Parts: sequence; structure tokens; C-alpha cells
Amino acid sequence: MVVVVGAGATGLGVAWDLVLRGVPVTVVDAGDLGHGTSGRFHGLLHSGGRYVVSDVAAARECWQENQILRRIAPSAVEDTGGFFIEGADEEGDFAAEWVAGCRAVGLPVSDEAPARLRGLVPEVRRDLRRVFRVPDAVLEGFRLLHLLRRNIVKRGGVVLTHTRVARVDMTGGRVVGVDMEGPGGRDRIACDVLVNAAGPWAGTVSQLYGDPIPLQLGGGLMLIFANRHTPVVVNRLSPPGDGDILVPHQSVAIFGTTDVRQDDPEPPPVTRAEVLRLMASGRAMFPTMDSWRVLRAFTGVRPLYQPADGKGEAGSRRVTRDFTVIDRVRDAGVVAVVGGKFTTFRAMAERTADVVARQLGVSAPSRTRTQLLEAGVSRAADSNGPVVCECEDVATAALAPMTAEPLSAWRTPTWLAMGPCQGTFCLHRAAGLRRQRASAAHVAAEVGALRTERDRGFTSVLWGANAQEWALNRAVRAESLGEALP
Amino acid sequence: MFDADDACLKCSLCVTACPVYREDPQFPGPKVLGPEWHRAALALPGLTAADHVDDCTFCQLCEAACPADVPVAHLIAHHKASQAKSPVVRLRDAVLARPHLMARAPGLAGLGGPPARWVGLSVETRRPRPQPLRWPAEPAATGARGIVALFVDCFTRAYDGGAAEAASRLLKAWGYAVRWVPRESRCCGAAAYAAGQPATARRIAAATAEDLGVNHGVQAIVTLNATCDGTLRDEWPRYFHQDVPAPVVPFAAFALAEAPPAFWDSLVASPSGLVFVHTTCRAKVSQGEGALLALARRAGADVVERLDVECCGAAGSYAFKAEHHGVAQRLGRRAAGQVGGRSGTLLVDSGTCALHLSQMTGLYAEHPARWLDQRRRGSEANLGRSTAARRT
Amino acid sequence: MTPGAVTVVGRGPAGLFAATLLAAAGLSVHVVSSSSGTLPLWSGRFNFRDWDQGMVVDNPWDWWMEHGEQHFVGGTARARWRRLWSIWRAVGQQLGMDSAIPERNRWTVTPLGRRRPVFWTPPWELALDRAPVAVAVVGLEGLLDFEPELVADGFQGPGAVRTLRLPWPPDWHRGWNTVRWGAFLDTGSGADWLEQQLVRALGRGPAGELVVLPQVLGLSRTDVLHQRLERRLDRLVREVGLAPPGLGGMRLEARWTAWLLSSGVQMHHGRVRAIRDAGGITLTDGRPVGEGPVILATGGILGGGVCLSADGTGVDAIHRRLLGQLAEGDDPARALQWGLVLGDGGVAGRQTAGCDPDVHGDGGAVCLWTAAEAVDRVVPGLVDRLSRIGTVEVAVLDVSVRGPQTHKEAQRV
Ligand SMILES: Cc1cc2nc3c(=O)[nH]c(=O)nc-3n(C[C@H](O)[C@H](O)[C@H](O)COP(=O)(O)OP(=O)(O)OC[C@H]3O[C@@H](n4cnc5c(N)ncnc54)[C@H](O)[C@@H]3O)c2cc1C
Ligand SMILES: Cc1cc2nc3c(=O)[nH]c(=O)nc-3n(C[C@H](O)[C@H](O)[C@H](O)COP(=O)(O)OP(=O)(O)OC[C@H]3O[C@@H](n4cnc5c(N)ncnc54)[C@H](O)[C@@H]3O)c2cc1C
Ligand code: SF4
Ligand code: SF4
Repeated sequence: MVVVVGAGATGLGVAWDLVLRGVPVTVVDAGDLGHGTSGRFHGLLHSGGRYVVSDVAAARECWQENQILRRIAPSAVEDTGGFFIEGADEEGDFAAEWVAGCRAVGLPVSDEAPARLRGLVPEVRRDLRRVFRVPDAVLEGFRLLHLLRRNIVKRGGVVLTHTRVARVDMTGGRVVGVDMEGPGGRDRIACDVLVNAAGPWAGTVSQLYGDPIPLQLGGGLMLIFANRHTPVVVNRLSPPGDGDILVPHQSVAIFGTTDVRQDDPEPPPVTRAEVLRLMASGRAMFPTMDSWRVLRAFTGVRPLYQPADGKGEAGSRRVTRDFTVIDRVRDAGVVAVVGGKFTTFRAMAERTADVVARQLGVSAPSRTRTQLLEAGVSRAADSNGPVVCECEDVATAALAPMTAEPLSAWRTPTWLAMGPCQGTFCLHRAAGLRRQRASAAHVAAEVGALRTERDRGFTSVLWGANAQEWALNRAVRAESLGEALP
Repeated sequence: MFDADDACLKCSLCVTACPVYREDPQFPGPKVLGPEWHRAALALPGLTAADHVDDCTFCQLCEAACPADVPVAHLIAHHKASQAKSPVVRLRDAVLARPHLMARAPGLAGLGGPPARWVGLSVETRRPRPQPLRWPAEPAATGARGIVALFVDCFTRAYDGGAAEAASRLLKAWGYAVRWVPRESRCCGAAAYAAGQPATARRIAAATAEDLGVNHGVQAIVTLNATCDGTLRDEWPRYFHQDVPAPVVPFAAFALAEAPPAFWDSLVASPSGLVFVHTTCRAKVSQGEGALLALARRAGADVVERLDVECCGAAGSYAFKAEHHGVAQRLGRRAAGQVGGRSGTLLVDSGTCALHLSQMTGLYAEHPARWLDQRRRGSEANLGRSTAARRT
Repeated sequence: MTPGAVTVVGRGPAGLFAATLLAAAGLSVHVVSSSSGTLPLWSGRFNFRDWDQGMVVDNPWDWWMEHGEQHFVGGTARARWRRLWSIWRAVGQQLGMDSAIPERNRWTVTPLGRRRPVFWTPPWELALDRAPVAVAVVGLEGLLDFEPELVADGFQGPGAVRTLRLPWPPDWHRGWNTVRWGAFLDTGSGADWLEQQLVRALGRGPAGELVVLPQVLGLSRTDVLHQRLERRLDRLVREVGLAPPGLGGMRLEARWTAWLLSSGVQMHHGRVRAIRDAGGITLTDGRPVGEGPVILATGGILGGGVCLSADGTGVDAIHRRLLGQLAEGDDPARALQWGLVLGDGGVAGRQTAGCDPDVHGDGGAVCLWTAAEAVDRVVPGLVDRLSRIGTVEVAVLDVSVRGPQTHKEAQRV
């Protein structure tokens, strides 16, 4: 049995790769699907354009994986295309270097008239020197994670959420079993190979098997705007920096990001000062951004492998974003995979699974490059029955298969409570559905937990309409529904 | 294009304010048709228009209720623009969107029978009868209290000329020189905008602005129709990017503020019978409510009752369209229920509402300016009679 | 000197109550507002007091008697409240919603099955002062805002509780919300449908059974339908208020504004930019509106009276005066208590500093109390002199409400 720690893109990717080779796998995650960085990222399916100057290897890998993901997970990729824009005040000639970089990587890029972009994105700054089109796309992270889980489970794999790996049994210096804490208490599974795909927690997990991984962690802030604002990805054409990409994501747009060193693998709290700093760089690309309604702010944590010799570097952005597979499988039965990007999760998974397969004597090659991730029922069929969430049009039909699970698990597969009202109105309807399967006390606790989760993204961006929304949210909770406020 | 198009709180206050939502079980309501559709359309370019979006009367009551300043009704007007329509309906709508051209051939409004049915006009809804106005001779250069412009809208011009003449007489009596504007039959743009033709509306408004003929020294533009009033004052600067050269004031508000006390005192003499007042939906939005009631009371009406109706269903040319007949009737029936067959006069400052409400309630509908002018003349006659009586 | 006219900014409950007092006293009143107030979001009940410093308030009535003076400026709380409830009862009667001021504190049940104390409720809304002997909680298929199982949890006690669900009516559509349901039940066929369904589903049932429905019993014909159902079922029928929009609040608002307008109050729509020295206000488009002294009932953050900016500052939207600043790490809930103080002249409702009805559960009470305070500031002594509301005489009630602890007591049983 192979145990994978972490149900992020990487861990699920490894499991998917292995089940396709016929290897039995159990994925264990301390939270829900996407509890880590994979649920807190920017949503960009990189073309590689961002890295053609700073990290050619990463750029090449992005472009290759970009093409593969479009093929194997079409239901989780929106082919918006992307633009790199150079403002008239940009210093130096980064553009020339960049175009040369694209060419070297083989990235198809076309020089466009700025007016064409303005036609698509009227709110972009007017004084544009040059504009290039690249094959960026939008990656619907949650959809891809759920897709992976569904396909893994369909082929006999096991995915355990809300289950933490608490101890690794290293009898005789090799992993033989894993102790887990889950909803049903403590449990133990036998384990031949352990895959550490715990993202920013990879360092913490590595301590459980006594082979600490040096990680450098960087927190990144993103702002979600209530409306989409752009049909295409817009990147600032300059050396990668803070606040330089706007990504349309279904009905919203996400702007990011920053990179702040931190020690804790948990996503850092959002500070108002950092939000204002991010808004300031946003204004340089979209002069009207101050008038856009911010819906939420959230942070994610990048783990970068930082072996001792590279320590002391300034910002973590300088370090290569390429991933690292730390292979201790022969002596300890453990393999760790850190770094990388969501875009390249499949390649990371393939390399990691190769290591595992070799160890287990499995000769079947990886098939993830071509195997389609089959989507389930269409969204259209899901929209039958009374509406629960008006913002994202989630109906009872979409929620019916989930009523046995806690409310927190309803959110990411359906987008429940993710729209402009932030759950203000839909949560009590969802609570009613849930009550048919759980006690009132349970439902109350679950509603409270989801409220707390939603509040976190709300409170640091409380101005204008969002402040009104929040005031309404409080009143509905306290006065109409009688919920206890925190 | 709009400010605050992303501000929707999902509070549903707009839904609670929408008169059509209550009468039409198929109507998705302002929140769905406005901000939600707009948000979805940004994400899915080419999204087809929602069914029943056309049933919105563009009364703007939703927008007036919104605590977040979402331009709800205006988003819906743009939503309407994305509908696919048959060429015949497009032609009909194009004509109805240009009432100022219709007004140049007022008889056309009487189109009935099969031709009307063929173009999708409601044959049951009462349509206006021509009653053109007599354009005044050279106006006085100035009055004791200054100059006002009287905005003669296309409906008044073609079908209720008497209202303009009455307003003019009153304004003169109060000490103003009156300029009638615009010279030609022109439209403020409301009809086109309400029907989901914002670009046409802007063009029509621009032509009217060019032609308005309000020059320096004019203290106010007095309007006779609540819809034109709101369009000139609110929509011109906000949505049509047109300057308005002088403050725009509806006739009733102008009368309440500017008619001298002696004028009101002179009116008490004549009996009025039962008077109903209806504040049109657009007046509620662009002004508020209570002015007509105050005017009727100030003018000494014996019994005044307010029609407790948000929107009567006429909504400009809305009720003339066959597909809206049902909703227009249901909206109007609320008024009918309240009036309950009593007879009396209904004061309302919109020609199409007057037409629809008189058809629904059986009341005799009257423009407040005409009613006031009649009371003035009646009082004078009465007064004449009583002084004559005293003399004998 | 008594002004002849007063301008009230805001048409939420506080603004409407201020206008009511002024109009009833024969003053000329202008109400100016940029949007709807919050009433259509309410279920219709007036909350009294729920919490004090983290503790459940057992007897809200006594709480107000003891603490009213501390929290607001004014005379003695006891006499004041007696007066206000007498007036409020007369307002209810004038609007066709007579509801006796209770002898004991009461509570209601929320759509999540929680209990909360209430004071004044319209006749159709659930308000209990003891656990009922038997309850039938009736849900409507397709109306997820009211799931009978969840609501029934609020009735646990010695009485029998059963839950039922009626099927959806023929015209039903998946997007129907409570307003749509209300409009449907306003029609003859809707009312017939509900009556038939209830008769069939409820059967005879235990004696003294209380029937609890979601708040959907019509908008304009509620009284007729409500009485018809009670007669036909031979049981008390009560609604439970749902999450917004609230039909109860809509009914109250519709009747209230109609009455105010008929009483000569003038309503103006527009956003206020400034208060004029000469009286009345100026709108953002420059128009002067109204006359006389101004009462601000502009309703906190949600109402638009307080604006929060990106840098964490909160300003009062009309005077552009700084009300407070959220520093990094502050609990943003603090901002909900920002507002103006009574000393500034007339300020009423949620715009009053220090008021947080979400936490205290006293929105309705604060609106009444502060609107009266504001009115007394611009027309001294008006509230005590008022003898009638429209056609209804203000009968001075001798209210003294017995606790203790209906709320907690109920929770214990
Ligand atoms: C701000 C930001 C923006 C980004 N934007 C992009 C982008 O636009 N495009 C892109 O391609 N990439 C982007 N990335 C990178 C990308 O998101 C990550 O590389 C990727 O999501 C990492 O996935 P993962 O599975 O390795 O880690 P994670 O998603 O973090 O998964 C680790 C999982 O391990 C679990 N876990 C930890 N400890 C335990 C334990 N003891 N027991 C059980 N489970 C445990 C956690 O709960 C977690 O779910 C971004 C990253 C950041 C920080
Ligand atoms: C969802 C919800 C449910 C509630 N339920 C209950 C309940 O069941 N029982 C209860 O007792 N209390 C309830 N409350 C009470 C609530 O917490 C407040 O106490 C109450 O809403 C305050 O009313 P208000 O009149 O002060 O302000 P609001 O109702 O907010 O009204 C403010 C008014 O001021 C106007 N305004 C603001 N700024 C300007 C300006 N510059 N120019 C012109 N106009 C302006 C607005 O347009 C609006 O008309 C509820 C509140 C909410 C939000
Ligand atoms: S448009 Fe305005 S009134 Fe309607 S739901 Fe949104 S915020 Fe509320
Ligand atoms: S404009 Fe009038 S009819 Fe149209 S949605 Fe708004 S309130 Fe309803």
C-alpha cells in the first residue's frame, strides 16, 4: 500500500498516476480537498510566459504541461488566452529580452495592437507601449481536484479527508505504517511507501520520519473582485514582481500576488496594509481598480526547497520554481515532492510516481499524459430543483449527493456560498437540507464553522459595498436567524 | 459603463419593490435580470437574454430601493438590448421608441384591428386620441418673476395640448414669461431606453438637447410628464452625458413652491368632488411622493384619496404591446379594486398612465395643470357669480 | 420655538416612526431617502433586548426599565417606555395590526430553530409566552427557507411536535422566493390551494394544536387569509419570520408609508449631501428639498449613513465627519457601533452611536426610543403631548411585564 500525505494537486496527481499503473493508493489529507495551497492559488494555467526570462526550465515545463492539461482535463480549463502588457512608463527593454525568451522556449506569442486589448478589457491602462498574446488559460483548481478524486476513487484508490497523519511508524528505519487521526478517531494503516506531498507542511511531515526537509515559505495575497472585469488573463510585462496578474475566474476576477517570507506553513492572516499595497500595484495596470468591489482577500503559501547552500537569498521569488523530488525510497520507503506549480502538478506527480513504481517493481509506465480525467454530471443537470445559492445558482440537485457530508464539504464542489453574498442567505437553506441528515446541534456547529471560514476573507477588505454586505450578513445571522455571533 | 454594477448585496430590496414581480409568476425579478444577469454576461459573453426580461416596465422602483446604488433598472435595459426579436416586432418597437415621430402623425396611434394585431399592438389597450395644441404666438420677453421654459413633450403635443395651454396660463398668472420648448416634436429618450434600445435613446436625447432652445435667463424647465421629467433631470446627465441648461421641475412641484398664496386662497370656493391622485412610478423614483396630494389639498379639493398602486402598468408604450397586455391589466386592476366603481377625478401627470388608469377604473383622468386651471376659472366664475349675487 | 415643518432623512423604521410622531402632531413632514430602509428585510417583529455584556437578558422589559437611562439621554425610562408603547400600540392599531402589549416576556423561533425573546409582534407572527401543548410545523415543498425539521427543534418541550410538508403548487417555479409565494397566496386560487392542502394534511390533530407556517401568508391580503385559515382549521395559525426579504416587514412598511402619505407626509427620493442652514437638506444633484430642522435616521453602515473606506476609516456620509478608525487587527465589528450622538440634534435608529442590535437584539426598541428622543429635540415635549395617531387615541397603557425568564425558562423545559 502506498500512502500519500496531502490531497492537493500534487498528492492527488501522484495517486492518479499510481492507480493508473495499478498500484493501490490511499491519500490522506488533514482538511478538505484543496485545504492547502491548491485551494488558495491564483488560478492561472501558466503558459510559461512569466518565467521565460527568470527560469527557462520552469517556463518550458509550464508550456508543455499547459498543453497536456487542456487535453486531459478540458472541463477544468477555460481557454481564455492571456496578454502581457507593457506600460509606457516601464523602464529598460525587458520586452525584447522577454520576446527572445519566449522564442527560446518555443512559446507561441503574438504582438498585438494595444487597441485590441482595450476592446476586450476597457478598464486596462490607456498608455500601453506593447501588448503580446500568449496561450495562458484559467485553471479551475477546485474542479480539477474534485475531478482527480472522482477518477482516483473510480479506479479503486482511497481518498480520506479531515484525516491527519499524526505519526509515521519507522520500525527498522523504514516506514511500515501510518497513524492517522480522523473523524472516527485514531486509525492505523500499513504502508510500503509513503509519499510526502504536504505542500507547505512538507517540512512538518518530514519530521515525522526523521528526514527534515529545508523549506523556504512565502505567503502570497490575492484579492477577489465581485465581477469578472476581464475575459482574458492580463500580466504585467516586467520582471516578476508583486501584484502583476489579473485572472478571470468564472464570475469573478482574482488579482495577485505578493510574496512575504514566513515560518509557519499555515496561510497568513490578511493585513489591511498589504491589501492596500496590492491595490496600489493593481492601479498601475487598471486605473479604475479602486472602484471595483473587492469581495474577499485570501492568502496561500509557497513552499520552496531550499537546501543549505542556497540559504540567505533575499526574496524567495529569486529561487527557481522548479520542483524537487527528494528520493529516500530505497533506504526509508519515503519520497517527498516539493515546490512547483499547480500547472506542473502532473509532471511532478509523474516523476514522483516513477520513483515509487520502481521501488515496488511495477513496470507500467505513466499514462497521465494522455488519460482523460472524466467529468461527472453536467452543471446543467445539477441546476434542477429549488435554488439554494442564488449567487452561483446552486440547486438542490447539485447538493443532494452531499447531504450526508458536513456543510463545509458542500462549498468547493458546487461553489455554494462563494458568490457576492458570501453565504449570507444560502447557508440557512443549506442548513435545512442538512438537518434532514444530522441533528440540530450538528447543523448549528457546521453553520458556525462555515461562517467563520467565510468571515476570514471578508473582514480585511471591509469598505464600500463589501462593508454593507458584511453589515447585512451580521444582521441576517443575528437578527433573522438567531445565530450566535463570534 | 456603470458605477456600482458590482455592488449588489443580494438583499432583495429591489425585488420587494418591483410591481411586476408580484403580478407575473414568470417574471424573474430585478435582482436576477439586473446585477445577476450582468455578472453572468460578463463571464459568458453572448449569453442569451433571460425569458421575460421584456416584461420589465422600466419603472425603476427597484433601483430607487437599492441601498448599494446598483443601477438595477439600467442594467436591465441593457439586458433587454440583447434579445432576439422578429423583424415585425423590431419594426413596431422602433416606431414606439420614437414617440416624437408618431406625434407628428398623431392619427397613427389609432391603428386598430388586424393591422394592429399583426404588428403586435394590444388591441384592447386604449390608445390616445389626437388633441394637438395651439402653439402660442410670440411669448412675452419676460415676466414679473422671470422666465420659465415649458417642456412640451411629444405626448402632450399630440394628444393633450390642453395641458400645455393650461400650464402656460397658470405660469403666466403667477408672473412668469413662458417659453415653449422644444420647437419641433422631440423625445427625451425615455421610450427607447425603456424598451431596451439604449444607443437609440442616446441619439434621440442628443438631438433633443441640440434643439432644446433653452437659453440663458431661463430659471427652470417645467415639465408636464413625470417620465420626461425624470429622464431630463436624472438620465441626461448620468447616462446620456447631456447637460441640462436649467433646473428641471415637474409642474406640480413648481406650483407648490412658486404659486403665490393668494392664488391658492382664491381656489377654495369651488367644490371638487372626489379626487384621486396617482403618483407615477417614475415620479416616485425621480421625485418622491406626496406633491400631487399636497397640490390637490392646497387647491381645496373636498376629498382626496391616494391610489395605493406602485405602477399602474401603462409604463409609456409598454401597455400598447400585445405581449404586455396581461401584466398591464393585472397591475391596473389594483387601482380598479381600490376605486371600486366610485366616480371622481384622477389627477396624474402622465398621459399614458391617465389613459390606462381611466380605462381600468372608470375615473375621469386629468392632468394636474388642467385641473388646477379649471378650478381657477371655476373659482373666478363662482366668485363672479357671488359678487354679482351680492350686488343684487 | 416650534417649527412648522421637519425633514427626516431615512425611511427605515426609525425615520418612519419619527415622521409618524411629527405628522400625528400636525406638523408638515418631509421624508428624504436614497433607498429603501431595512424594514422589508425584517420579519415584522420589534426586537426588545436580548443580550447584555455576554449574558442573556431574562426580562427585557425590566432591563429597559433599569438601563434605558444609562444608554440614552432622556427622562425616566419607566415613564418613557410606557408612553412609547402606548403610542406604538396606537400606531399598530391605526395600521390594522393591533397586538396587545404582553403581560409576560415572549419569545419566537427563528428559521434555524433558535429561540429569541421578542416584544411586539404583528398579529400573524409567532410569539409565545409558554411552551405550546402541541405544534404542527408545516413546510412548503420547494421553499428551502423553512425546513420544518429545523424549525421544530425550537419547540422541544412537553408538547407534541409534528412536522409536515405540503407539495408545491401547480404554478411553482424553482426560482420562487418568499415574495413570490406571498404574491401567489394573495390570489384567490393561491388562498384556496393553501386552505385545501392544510385541511387535508393536518387532519383533526390534538386539541389546542398550534399551526406554524413559514412567513408567506400574502402581502396585501394577509389579514383575510390568516383569519380564514384560523377559522377553517379551528386552530391558532402563526408565521415564523424567515431570512430576508421578510414579508412581515414588507406588510408593515406598505401600510405605514401609505398611511403617512395619506396623512400629508411628503416623501422625496434622493441622496442627501448636506443640511441647509435655512432648513431642509440639499441632494447630491444640488436640489434643495424639505424645510425646517432635520432628523437623521440614516441607518449605520448598511443604510448608508456610515461609509467605511479602504484605509479603515468610517465617516458619517452627510457631514463627512470622522467617526472612527479601524487599526490593523481590530475587531471590525467595532465599526458597526459607530455613529452620531444625540447631542448633534436629531439622530435616530441605527445611526446612533453605540447601538448594535445584532449583538444586543434591540433594533426595534432602539428605533422607537431614539426616534422619540430626536423628535423631542426638534419639538420639545411633542411625545408627551401626543394624544392620537391618526384616528386612534393613544390610550396610556399601564405596562409592567412579568418575567422572569420566559426565554430561558422555555429553553429549560
Ligand atoms: C499565492 C500563490 C499563487 C499561486 N498561483 C498559481 C497559479 O496561478 N498557477 C499555478 O500553476 N500555480 C500557482 N501557485 C502554486 C500552486 O498553487 C502550488 O504549487 C500547488 O497548489 C501546490 O500543491 P500541493 O499539492 O503541492 O500542496 P497543497 O495544495 O498545499 O497540499 C498539501 C496538503 O497536505 C495536507 N497536509 C499537510 N500536513 C498534513 C498531515 N500531517 N496529514 C494529512 N495531510 C496533511 C494539507 O492539508 C494540504 O491539503 C500559487 C501559489 C501561491 C502560494
Ligand atoms: C436583515 C435584517 C433583519 C432585521 N430584523 C429585525 C427584526 O426582526 N426586528 C427588529 O427589531 N430589528 C430588526 N433589524 C433591525 C436593525 O438592526 C436596525 O435596528 C434597523 O434596521 C435600523 O433602522 P434605521 O431606521 O435606523 O435604518 P435603516 O432601516 O437602515 O434606514 C436608513 C435609511 O436612511 C437612508 N439614507 C442613508 N443615508 C442617506 C443619505 N445620505 N441621503 C438620503 N437617505 C439616506 C437610507 O436610504 C434608508 O432609507 C433587522 C435588520 C436587518 C438588516
Ligand atoms: S440590486 Fe440592490 S436592492 Fe437588489 S439585491 Fe442587489 S443590492 Fe439589493
Ligand atoms: S424597472 Fe420596474 S418592472 Fe423593471 S425590474 Fe425594476 S421594478 Fe421591476
